[in-house]
Amino acid sequence: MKSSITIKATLLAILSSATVAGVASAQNQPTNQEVPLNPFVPRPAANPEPAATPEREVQRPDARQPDTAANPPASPTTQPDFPADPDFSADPDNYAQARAASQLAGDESMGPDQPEVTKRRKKGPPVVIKHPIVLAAPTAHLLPAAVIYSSTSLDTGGGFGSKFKVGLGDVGEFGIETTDRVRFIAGAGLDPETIQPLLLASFKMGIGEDRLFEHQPALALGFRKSFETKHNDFDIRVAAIELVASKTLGPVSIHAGGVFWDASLASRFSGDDAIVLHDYGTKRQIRPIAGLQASPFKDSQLLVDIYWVPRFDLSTDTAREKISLRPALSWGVRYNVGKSVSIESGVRVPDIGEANLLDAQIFGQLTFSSSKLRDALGVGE
Amino acid sequence: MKAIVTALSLLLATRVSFAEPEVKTIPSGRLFLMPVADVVGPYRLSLSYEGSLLKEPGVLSSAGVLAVGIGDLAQLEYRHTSAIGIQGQSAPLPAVGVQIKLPIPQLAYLPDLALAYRLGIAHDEEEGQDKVTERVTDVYGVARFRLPRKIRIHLGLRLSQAEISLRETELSETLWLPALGLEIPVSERSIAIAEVAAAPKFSLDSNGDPLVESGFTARMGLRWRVHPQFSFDASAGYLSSDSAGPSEVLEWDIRLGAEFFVAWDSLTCRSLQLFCEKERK
Repeated sequence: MKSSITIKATLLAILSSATVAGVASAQNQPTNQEVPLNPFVPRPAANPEPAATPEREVQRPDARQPDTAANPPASPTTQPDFPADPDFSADPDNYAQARAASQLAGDESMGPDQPEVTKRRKKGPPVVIKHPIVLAAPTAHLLPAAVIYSSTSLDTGGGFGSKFKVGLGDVGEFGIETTDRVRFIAGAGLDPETIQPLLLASFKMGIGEDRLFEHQPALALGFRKSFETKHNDFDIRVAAIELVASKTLGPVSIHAGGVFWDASLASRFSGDDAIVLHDYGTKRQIRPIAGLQASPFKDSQLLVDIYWVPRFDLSTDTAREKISLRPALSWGVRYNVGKSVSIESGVRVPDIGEANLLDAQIFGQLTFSSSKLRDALGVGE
Repeated sequence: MKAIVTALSLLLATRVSFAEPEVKTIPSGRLFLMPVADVVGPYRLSLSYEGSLLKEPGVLSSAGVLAVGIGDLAQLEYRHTSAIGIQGQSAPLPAVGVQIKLPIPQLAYLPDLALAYRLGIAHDEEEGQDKVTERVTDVYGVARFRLPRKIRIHLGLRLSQAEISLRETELSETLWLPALGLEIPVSERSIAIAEVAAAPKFSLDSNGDPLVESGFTARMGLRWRVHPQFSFDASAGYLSSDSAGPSEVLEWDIRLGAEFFVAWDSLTCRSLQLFCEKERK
C-alpha cells in the first residue's frame, strides 16, 4: 500500500506539471472524447487502458501524455496552451464524475484507493507502556505522552479504588484517583475503617532509564494531594511527595525510594486547632518505599511492594499519635490480557506493623491503557 | 583598524560557533510565574490560563495572561500577577501592561533582556465581614541566559508598589522582588521548568491592621508543546503562608494550564478586513 501511495504521489507530481498545460486547452471542449482533467482518471474507452497489472500504474503517465503518437490529443486544440499552474492539481467535480464512469466500466484501479491517501493518518511507532505503579507503590516509569491509563480495584474488605492518569510530554504524568488505603479508627476497641471516597490528584515528572547516562535508573518525583474529605465529623487532608528510582535488570524491575507524607485532622465542630503531621517533626513524615516486578513469562508478572500510608487514630489520647504512617504490604500477579488490558490480583496487608493476617484483603484489579489520544494528536510520529 | 577587524572577525566566529538553531515553536512570554525576556511576536496573540486544583478545598485559584504581539519587540498584555493574598492563598492580581524586548544581538554570552511595566487593577478579597482591596503595580526587568543544550536561565527583578486597604486603613509598600527560573529541554516537545520568585504578600498583623511584606513562591513542572500553537503546563508548587514551611506538604498545590497562540491578523482580516496587507505581500 505504501509503495502504491508513493507511486501515485510521484505520478501526481509529474502529471500535474506535464499534462495540465496540454489538457487545459481541452477543458472547454464538450466532446465525447474529452480528456479528463484529473491525471488519475482513466481515459474513456476510445483510449483503452492497458490490462490491470502492477506495471499498469507505472505506465499510466505515458498513457496521459496527450502529444504522443500513441495518445493523440483528444480533440484539436483551438485555444492557446496555458502555462501549467502549480496550484492546480485536480478538479474534484470532474474527478468524481470520471471515477464514477470508470467504475461503471469496471475499472476499479484508481477510484477506491485514492481517497485513502489523504484520509488515513500515519501512526507513530508502537509505544511501550510501563506501569506507573507496582500495586500500591509508585514506580519511576512514566506514561508516554498522551497515553491514558486507568485502573479499578475491588477488595474483600469492601474497598474500592480507581485511578486515571495521562502521560504529559513523555516526561510527566497527571492523574486523578480515589483510594481506600487511608484508614481511620473512630475510637478505642474499634476496627480500622477505610476513608472513602478519598479523592486525590497527582502529578509526577521524571526521566526514563538510560537517558542521562548508561545504566542510569529511571527517576521520578511525584506529588499527590487529596481534596478535603469529611469523615466522622472530621475534615481530613493528606499529601505526599514521592521520590522513586526504577531499574530494569532483565526480567526483573526494582523500585526504591522514599515518601514524605503530611496529613491534617480537623474537627468540624470543636474550635480546636487541626492536628497536622508536620508539627511533630520530619522523622514522622519520611518513610522508604520499595517494589519488585519479575516477569517469569512473557505476559505475566509477579509483584510485591511496601508502601506507607497515613492512619488516623482517635483511640489514643495524645495528639501526636492521632496521625501515624503505617506500612502496607501487597503482593500479587499481573497478567496482560492484551496489548492494552491487564488484570491484577493479590493480597494486601494494610498494616504489617500489627501482623494481623485477619486484616488482610484479597483484591482484584483491572487496568486499561490507550494510545488513541496519542495517535489523534500525532505525538511520536 | 586591524584590531577592530580582528575583533569583529572573532565576534562573528563566536556567533557562528555558539549560535543555536532557532526553535520553530512560538516563544512564550512567561514561565509559570515569572515573565521571560521574549515576546509572542508580530501579528500573534497568546492566551494562557492556569488553575490550581488543590490549594484550598472549594477554591479554584486561577491566573491568566493575554498578550498581543506588537512587532518583534513588544507586546501588550493583560495578566494576573502573582501575589499572596490575605488568606494565605494565591491571589492573582489583574494588571495591564506592556513588555519590551531589548534589541540585543543573539550572542552566546549576551543575555536577552526585557522590561515590563504593569499597571495594577484593584482586586477585592473578603476577610470575615470586611472587604480588603489589594493592588500591585510593577516594573519588571528580566534577563535570559542561553546555555548549551538549549538550557535557559532566567533572572528577574521586580519593583512592586503593593497597596492594600482594609476598613479605613490604607498601606502602600515598595518591594524589591527577585526571581530565578530554569528551563531544561527534556524531550523533543517538552521542557522542564523550575522557578523561585518573591511575591508581594498581604496579611494582617496582631492588631488586625493590614501588612505588606514579601513572600515567596516556588514551582516545578513541565511544558508540553502538543502543537506549535498550543502548549500544556502542569506543575506542583509551594506558596509561603503564615505558618508554613516547604515541609508542610499540605500547602503545596498542583496547577494545570494551557497556552494558545493565535494569528490575530488573519482573524481581523476575515472579520473586519483589517491587517490584510501581510497576506497580499
